[in-house]
Amino acid sequence: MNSFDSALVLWLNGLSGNVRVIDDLLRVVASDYLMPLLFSIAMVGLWFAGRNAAERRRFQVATLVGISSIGISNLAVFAINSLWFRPRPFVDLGNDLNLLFYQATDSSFPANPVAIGFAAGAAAWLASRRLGIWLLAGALLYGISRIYAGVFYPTDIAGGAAVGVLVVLGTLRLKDLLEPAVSLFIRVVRGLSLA
Amino acid sequence: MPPDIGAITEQIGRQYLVMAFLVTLGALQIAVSIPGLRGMMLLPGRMSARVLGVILIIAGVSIFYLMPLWVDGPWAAGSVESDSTTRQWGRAAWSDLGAARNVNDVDGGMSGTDHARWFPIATALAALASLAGGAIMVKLFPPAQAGEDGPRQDGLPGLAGASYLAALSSSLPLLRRSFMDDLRRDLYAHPGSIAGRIAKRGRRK
Repeated sequence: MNSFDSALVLWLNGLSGNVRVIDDLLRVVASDYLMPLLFSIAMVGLWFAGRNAAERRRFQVATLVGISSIGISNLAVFAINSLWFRPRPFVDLGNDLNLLFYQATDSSFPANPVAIGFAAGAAAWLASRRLGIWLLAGALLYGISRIYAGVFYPTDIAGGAAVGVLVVLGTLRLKDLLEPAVSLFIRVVRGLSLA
Repeated sequence: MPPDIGAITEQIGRQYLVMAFLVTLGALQIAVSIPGLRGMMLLPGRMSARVLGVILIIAGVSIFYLMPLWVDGPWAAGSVESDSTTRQWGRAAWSDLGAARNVNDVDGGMSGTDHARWFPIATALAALASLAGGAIMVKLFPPAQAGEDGPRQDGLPGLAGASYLAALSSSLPLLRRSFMDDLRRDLYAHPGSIAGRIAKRGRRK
C-alpha cells in the first residue's frame, strides 16, 4: 500500500512546478483558511435556508449534526494520531518531492482537514443533495490539493473521508438518543426568532 | 522586527476575523434570500441580496489573501518558502501571494483551536449585522406581504415581514405558552431516545 501511496503522491506532486498559476491556486485551496471557512459557512447558511417548516427543521437538524460532527471528527483524528504516527510524504520521500506547503509536524493519517470537509459534506447531504455534493467535491479537491502540495498520502485522504462520514453516521445515532434535547434546543432558538 | 509567535497568531487571527465576517455575512445573505427573510436581508430584493452575498464572499477571500501585499507579516518578499520557519518580517511580493498565508501554527499560523475561537465571533457579528441591516431595510422598504408561512409566525418565518425585535415580540410569548406542552409531546414522540425510554418506564410504574 505504501508503494502505491508513494507512487501516487510522486505522480501528482510531479505535476507541480510547471504552471505557476496552478501551483499558486492549489496553494490557496490547500491553505488552512479557505476550505474550512467554506465548509463552516455552508453549515451557517443551511440553518437559515429552509423554505417551509419541514425543510427548515431538516436543514437545522443537519446543521447541528454537521457542526457536532466537525468537532467529533477532530477528536477522532486526534485519538487515531495518538495511537499511530505516520510520517508525512515529504519526510519519507525527501528531495523527490516539490513541497508546496509548510512542513506539518503532526501525523499524516488520517487527513484532519479532509475529515472535517467530509463531515460537513455528509451532514449537508442529509438535508440537501445538491449542497452535499458541492461540499463533498470541495472536500475531495481540498484533499487532492494537499497531495499535490506533498503533505498527504492518498490513503490519508481516504482515511480522513471515512472518519468524516462514519462520525456523521454516529452523530445521527447520538442525535436520536439525545432527543428531545435536540428538538428542545431548536424550539428555544425558534422562541428567540432565530430558528 | 518580527513580533513573537503569539503576536503573529493574534495578527493573523484578526485578519481571519475580517474575512470570516465578510464571508459569513455573504453566505447569510444568500441563505436568507431563499426563504425571503426580509428582516435579515441587507437589500430589499432576493436577487440583489444574493448578488451582494456573492460579492461579500469574493471580497472577504480576496482581502485576506491579498492583504500580505500591504500589511507586514511573516511573508517578506523573497523569504516566502514552503517552510515557514525561514520567513522574514515584511510585505509580500505578488509572486509570494499563493504561499504567503501558509504559515505553520507553531510559527504563528492559526491552529484548529484558533479557528474555533474566531469563527463563532465572526458568525455572531455577521448575524448581528444582518439583523440590524435587515431592520433598517424593513423600515425603509416595508414588505408588501408577509412570508410564505403567513403573518405573525414564530421563529425565522416571523422575519419574512418584520424586523428582528418585532418578530421576537411575537415569538417569545408563543415559546413561553407552549414550552411545557411541547416538551411533554416531544418526550413521548421519541420512544427510542434515552429520555423517551425513561419516560416510558416511569409511565408503566
